Amino acid sequence: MRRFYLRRWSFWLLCLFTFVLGVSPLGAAVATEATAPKQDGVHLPNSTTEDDYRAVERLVLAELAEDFLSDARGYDVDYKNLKGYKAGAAFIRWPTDGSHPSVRFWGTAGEYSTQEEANAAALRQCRKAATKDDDSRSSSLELSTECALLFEGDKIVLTPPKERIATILQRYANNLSTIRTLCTPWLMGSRGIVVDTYSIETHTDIPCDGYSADVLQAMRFVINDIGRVDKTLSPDIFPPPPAVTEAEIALRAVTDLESGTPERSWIVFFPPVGSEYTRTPYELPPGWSYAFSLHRVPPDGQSQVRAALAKLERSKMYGRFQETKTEDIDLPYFNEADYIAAYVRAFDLRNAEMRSAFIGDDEFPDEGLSGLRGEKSIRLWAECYVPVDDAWIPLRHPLRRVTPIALETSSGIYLYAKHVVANDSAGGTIGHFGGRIFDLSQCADLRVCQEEVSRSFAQVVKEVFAGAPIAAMHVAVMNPNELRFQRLNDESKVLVGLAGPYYEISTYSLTFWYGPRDSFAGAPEHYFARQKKGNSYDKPPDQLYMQVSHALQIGVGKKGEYAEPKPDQYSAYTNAVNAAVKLAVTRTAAKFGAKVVDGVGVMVPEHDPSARKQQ
Amino acid sequence: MTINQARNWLGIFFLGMTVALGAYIILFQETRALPVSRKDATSAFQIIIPTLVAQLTIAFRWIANPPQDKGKGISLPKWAVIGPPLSVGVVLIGTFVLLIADGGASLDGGAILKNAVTFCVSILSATSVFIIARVFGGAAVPAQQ
Repeated sequence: MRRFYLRRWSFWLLCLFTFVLGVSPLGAAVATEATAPKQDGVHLPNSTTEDDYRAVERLVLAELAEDFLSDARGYDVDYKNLKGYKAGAAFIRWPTDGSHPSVRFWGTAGEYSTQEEANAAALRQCRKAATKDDDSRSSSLELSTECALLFEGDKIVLTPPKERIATILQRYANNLSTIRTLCTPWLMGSRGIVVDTYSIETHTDIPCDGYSADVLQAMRFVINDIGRVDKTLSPDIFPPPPAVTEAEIALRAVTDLESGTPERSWIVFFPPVGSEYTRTPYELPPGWSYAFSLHRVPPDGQSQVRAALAKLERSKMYGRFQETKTEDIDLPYFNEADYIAAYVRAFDLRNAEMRSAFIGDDEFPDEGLSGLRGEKSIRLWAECYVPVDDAWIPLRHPLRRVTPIALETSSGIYLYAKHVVANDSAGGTIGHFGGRIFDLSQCADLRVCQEEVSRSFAQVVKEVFAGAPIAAMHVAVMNPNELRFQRLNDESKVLVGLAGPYYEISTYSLTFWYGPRDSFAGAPEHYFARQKKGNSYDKPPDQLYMQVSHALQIGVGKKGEYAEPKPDQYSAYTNAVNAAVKLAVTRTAAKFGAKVVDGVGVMVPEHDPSARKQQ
Repeated sequence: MTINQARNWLGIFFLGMTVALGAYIILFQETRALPVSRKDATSAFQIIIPTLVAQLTIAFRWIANPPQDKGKGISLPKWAVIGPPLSVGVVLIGTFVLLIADGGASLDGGAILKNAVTFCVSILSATSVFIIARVFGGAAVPAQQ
């Protein structure tokens, strides 16, 4: 009897145990399923909501629409102004890593009598474009599902795949979750640095959630590494930050290194490491590059950080270093005696154009989930760089790369830390491309023409730049392809009038070199490097190119502060320099009897100096 | 010097100086008539004009509602009443003449102007402020109905 009871109780106990074990996970799963955020059956990443999903969906659709309209404009199709019933279809590439999709192929249809006809025509156009592309490698069956209607009339009708939106949302969520918060004791340091993780009392790192010893060892807070600005010996010269907006770029005539067209507005978060043929103290071994991470400043530490940033903002130049050549080649614009100096400036990111110039998904919180939720970037402090001579006189435009120090957003302040990560990307290049000023294609002996024209042009340029209004003195430099002129702490003859009196610190760097006409591409150093290595080139170097870089600071009175010029002052100098270059070309051409066509001196056979020499 | 004469002299002087100096700095900053940067001119303006306006306020408050003490003599020497304002005027005029003559060629105009106005404010604060308070003090309180 006892055994029977034992068996019965054991049996029921076992049943109960099994029931609990079996049902509870199921119950938990059901509970999780019931409570997990979802959007139409698709699981959303943790810490995200349906509002976040909708925000991503709206953002993605807006970007696709802009992509589509911009591509269409590139083919002279102004979709917005198409009449009648119209439609737009797109073949969209959806990356699997959560980055934003883009329009691969597209088709438009306008002036149809019904919407259905317009829709069908747009889809046909899109599929036609896709089949023409050799890289698509898709069957027509795939294409018929990949080209989808994006616009019906002016309304966006595309419904993005839910899983893709969820993947993008996951990426935003990841971005937010990697931002750590600094601990207040780190910001109260007494060792003269802003973020002090080391305790003198205990001789160890002050503990802080989210920061292990490994994490601390792998990074350096940029604000701690800013050179001792208060100890610098540089003069009261305050170079401007690099031009960012299109208006500033046009005003200061900052040109792109490959095309000679106005520089793009992108600013890179990367210290100046040199180029393919030069190096600086920032150079990293091959396969490594710099990366930057954000660290949130706690509210009770913000006053210390703001005070530190206020001291750095609008600093004088400091910490200059030299760039050295790694190969024995001629670089037209490079002068080994020159330096690069650092200085700190702040950028107002409330301007959308200014904000979009700084590219980086992980370097701005507004690129992540918090941006979707309304966080906006307000101000960026960064270490900028400008080429200078041994007297700290700026020589050219500031470099288009900066090292970020701190960021203020609508949510608070962040500090940047610098890391070195394994990466295949290389450092940036420093180069200039100039306009064509002489055409020697009709010379009998190119080498003789080059020597004669170079010598004569250099002499004429010295005379023109020495005269009013530029009135700059020629300064000898070691580089045979560069002419440098300076006007230092003298009254400006360009900015005349009732206002002022204005004094200038100006350095004009005129770099010139010979190259072929149409096949010339890339920075000049690539051409010279090929030449040195004995490679032949398909076209002779019968065109003379020149680039003028002008570094300018203006002060009121000789001993005042020399700060960044105002826009109208930049314009005045741009006009003066353009006029001077034009005059120099015209005078040099006149010496050789050459004609001037669209600002370019064209040598004619009748006055060929090489032909005269042969006679 | 009667108290009325002192009041007239000081009131007219401070009114004229405030208006002339303020207008001059505002209109001619960063020109050859005042070759200092806009930033330095604004700083100088912010240093001296509030002090002058404060004296003007005390004077006009009294003028708007004077007590009955006309013709009363005061025991202050004449040089103490007119000396400090005249000295300040001379210093400022001398500074402007110097800056215009130099034309920014060799002097740090901004620093000189700021130092000069700071010096003038110090002189006025140590002297004329008390004179103004003495001669324009005791404005009648409007009768309450």
